[in-house]
Amino acid sequence: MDNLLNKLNPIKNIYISVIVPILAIFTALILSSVVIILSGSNPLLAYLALAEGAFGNLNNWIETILKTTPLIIGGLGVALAFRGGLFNIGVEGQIFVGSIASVIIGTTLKAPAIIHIPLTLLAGVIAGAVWAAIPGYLKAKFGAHEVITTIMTNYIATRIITWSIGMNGPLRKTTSFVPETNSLLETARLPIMISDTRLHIGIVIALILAIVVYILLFRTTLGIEIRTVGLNITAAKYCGIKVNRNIVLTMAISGGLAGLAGAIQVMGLPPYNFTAGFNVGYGFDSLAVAVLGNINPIGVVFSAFLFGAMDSGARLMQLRAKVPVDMITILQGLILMFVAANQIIRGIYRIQIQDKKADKVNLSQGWGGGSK
Amino acid sequence: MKRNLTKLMVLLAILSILLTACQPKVSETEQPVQNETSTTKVEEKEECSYKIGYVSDVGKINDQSFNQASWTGVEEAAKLLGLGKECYSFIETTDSADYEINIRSFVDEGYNIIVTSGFAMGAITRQIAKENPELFFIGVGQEQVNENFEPDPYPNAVGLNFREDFGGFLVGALAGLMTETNVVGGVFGCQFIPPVARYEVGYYNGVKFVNPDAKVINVYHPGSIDVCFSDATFGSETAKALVSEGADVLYGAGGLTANGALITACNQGAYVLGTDMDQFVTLPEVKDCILSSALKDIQEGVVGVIGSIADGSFGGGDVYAPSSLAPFHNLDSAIPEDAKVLLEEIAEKLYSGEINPCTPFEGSNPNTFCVPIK
Repeated sequence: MDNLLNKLNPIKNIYISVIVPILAIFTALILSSVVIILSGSNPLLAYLALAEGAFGNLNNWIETILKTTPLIIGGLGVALAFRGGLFNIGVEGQIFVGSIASVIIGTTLKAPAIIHIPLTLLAGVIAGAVWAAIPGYLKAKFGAHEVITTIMTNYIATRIITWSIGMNGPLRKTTSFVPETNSLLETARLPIMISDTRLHIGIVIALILAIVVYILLFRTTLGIEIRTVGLNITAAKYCGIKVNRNIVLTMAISGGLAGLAGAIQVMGLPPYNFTAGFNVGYGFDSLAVAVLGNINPIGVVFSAFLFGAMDSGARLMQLRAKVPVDMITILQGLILMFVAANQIIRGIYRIQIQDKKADKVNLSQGWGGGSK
Repeated sequence: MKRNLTKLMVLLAILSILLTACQPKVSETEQPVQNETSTTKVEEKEECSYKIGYVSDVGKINDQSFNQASWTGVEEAAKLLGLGKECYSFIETTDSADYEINIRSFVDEGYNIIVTSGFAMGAITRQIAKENPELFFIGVGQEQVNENFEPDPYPNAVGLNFREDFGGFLVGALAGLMTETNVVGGVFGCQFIPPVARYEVGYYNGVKFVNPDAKVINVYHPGSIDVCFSDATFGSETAKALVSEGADVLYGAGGLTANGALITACNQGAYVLGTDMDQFVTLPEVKDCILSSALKDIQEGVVGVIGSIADGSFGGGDVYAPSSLAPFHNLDSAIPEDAKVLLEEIAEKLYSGEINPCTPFEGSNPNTFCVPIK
C-alpha cells in the first residue's frame, strides 16, 4: 500500500502542476464571460464560436497551427533565456530583424530551393542571434541590464525596419503604395504540407526545435552551464563556468530562435513579404507563452497551442458573437495572471502546496545587474 | 506520461470552455438570449436578404476614424435595408498576415457583401472578389487597379475613394481668406500616403487660389507609418514653430500628429482647420478656434455603395466620393458673408471640374497621387 502511494506521488505532483493552469483557464473564462455579458454579448455563443473558430474544420485547425508556430519558437527562445537567468524582452525586435534578414536573402539570392530555403532560414537565425547578442554582450561586459537594453533594441529594430520599407527605403517595393518589401522568390518559400491550404512545414520545425531545446537544456553540458548561471551566478563562477561567454551565448541562441520565428513567418505565409503591421505582438506573446509553459520547452508547445487557438478562434468569435478581439487579450491576460500568481487559484480551490522540489528559476535574480 | 497529461490539459481547456457556458448563474440570465439565437439560426437564411461583413485594417472599429466610420456605415446601411443584427458582423484585423483569412471567413460563412478598409487590403480583396464573382466587395480607400496601376475594374468590386484635394482646397481657400498675417501653416502625416498628399496639395492650391500673395508653410512628419500619424509631440512642436513664423491659420491632416498641432496652435491664438471628420465634434479642445474641417464622409460613402447593390446600380470599378467643408459652428459669425459666398462658388466649380485642385506646385510631392476628374 505504501509502495503504491510512493509510486503515485510523482503523478500527484504532475497532477498539481497541471490542475493549476486548468483552473486558471477555467476561472479566467468565467471572469471573461462577465465582461462579455457586460459588453452586451452572449458568452455561450462567444465561446462556442471561439472553439469552432479554432478547431471547427480543417482550415480552422490549420490557422490555429499557423498561429501556434511562431509562438512555440519565440516561446522557446524566451524560455531558454529565462533558464539562463536572462529576461529577453527583445524577442519582438529579434523576430523583426530575423524576418527582414530572410527577406533580403529570399528576394535577392538565386538558388535552387534545396539550398535557398535553408540559407533563408539561416539568415533569420543569424540576424536574430547577432541582434540579441548585443544586449548579451552589454550585460556581460558592462553589467547593463538586459531588460532595459532589449527594450531599446526593440525600438531600434522597429525604427530601422519601418525606415527601410518606408518611402524611398532600400527594401521598399517600388511599385507599392503600401510600405512593404518585395515578395520572396518561389525557391525561398516553405513547402506546403497539405496542398491548397496555407499549412507550411513551420510547425514541424517548431516541434523538432522544442525537442532540441529540451535536450540542449537538460541533457547537455552547455544546458547545465546555462541553467547553473541562471540559478546562481556566483556558484556558476565557482564551478569554473565562463559566465560572460555563457550570457552572450544564451542571448544569441534565444535571439536565433526568435529570428527563426520571423523567418518562418515571411517564408510561410502569403504574400511572402514584410509589410507594416506584420507579425506585431508575437514577441510579447512569446513571453506570456514561456511563463504559462512553466519555462519548460514541452510546456511551451502546449501554452503556445492554447494562445494560438485563442488567436485563431477570435476571428469567428468576432464574426458570430460580435465580441471585439480585445476580449481575447483580456482572457489571455487573466489566464497568465492566475498562472503567475497561482496562490490565488490555490486559495480559491483549496489546493495544498505539495511540490517540494519545484523546478523553478528565480526570475528576479537577474536584477542584480550583470556578472560583476 | 507527462505528455499525455498535458494533452489532457488541453482537452480540459476546451472542455472548460463548454463547462463555463453551463454555469447556472450565466445560463439563467442568458436563457432568453439563447432561445432567440437558436431560433434565428433557423430563420437566418430566409430573413437576411443580404449578409454584410466588415474587415477592419490593423486597428479597431472604435478608432474615431477610418475603421469606425466604415463600420458605422455598414451598420447604418444594414438598418436602411431592414437587416436584423444577425445579418452583419465584423472582424478586427490584428496582424496584416491575416487579411486574407479574415476576408475568407466571411466568404465561408455565407456573407454576400464584404467591406474591407485601407489600401493595404486592396490587392487581396480584389483577388478574392475575382474568385467569388457572385459576391459583392467594397474596398474603402482601395483603387481598382492592377499590379501596374492600370485601371482594372471587376463587375463585383467597388473601390470607394475620396477626392481629398476638394476638401483640402476648400479649407485652404478659407485659410487664405481668414489670414491677417498672410502666413498660413499646415501639419501633415506621412507624405507617401496618397490621401494625405492630396489634402496637402489641395490645401496649398486653395490658399493660393484666393490669396496668391499668402505664404504657405506645409510640414510633413518625416517618420515612418507607425509614428507619423501618432506623434502628437511633433505636431505640437511644429505648430509652435509655425505660429512663431507668423502663421495665424493652421491646418492639420494626420491623425494624432495633426491633433497635437491643432490643440497647440489653438492655445497660441491661431485659427485651426481639421480633417476627415468634423473635428469641432471629435476634438472638443479646439472648439473655440476651429473654422471648419475637410470632411471625408466615409460613412455616407459606404451607405451609398451598399445602397447601390440593393437598387441594382452597382457597377464595379472606382467610385470617388467628394470631400467637403464641415459647418463653421462657433466661429460662424467671425467669417465674413462674402467669404461664405465665395466658398460656395468654389465648391461648385470644384464639383463641375472648372477648378482642378490637384495641380502639383513647386516643391510639392512629385507624386501627388492626383485623380483625374470624371
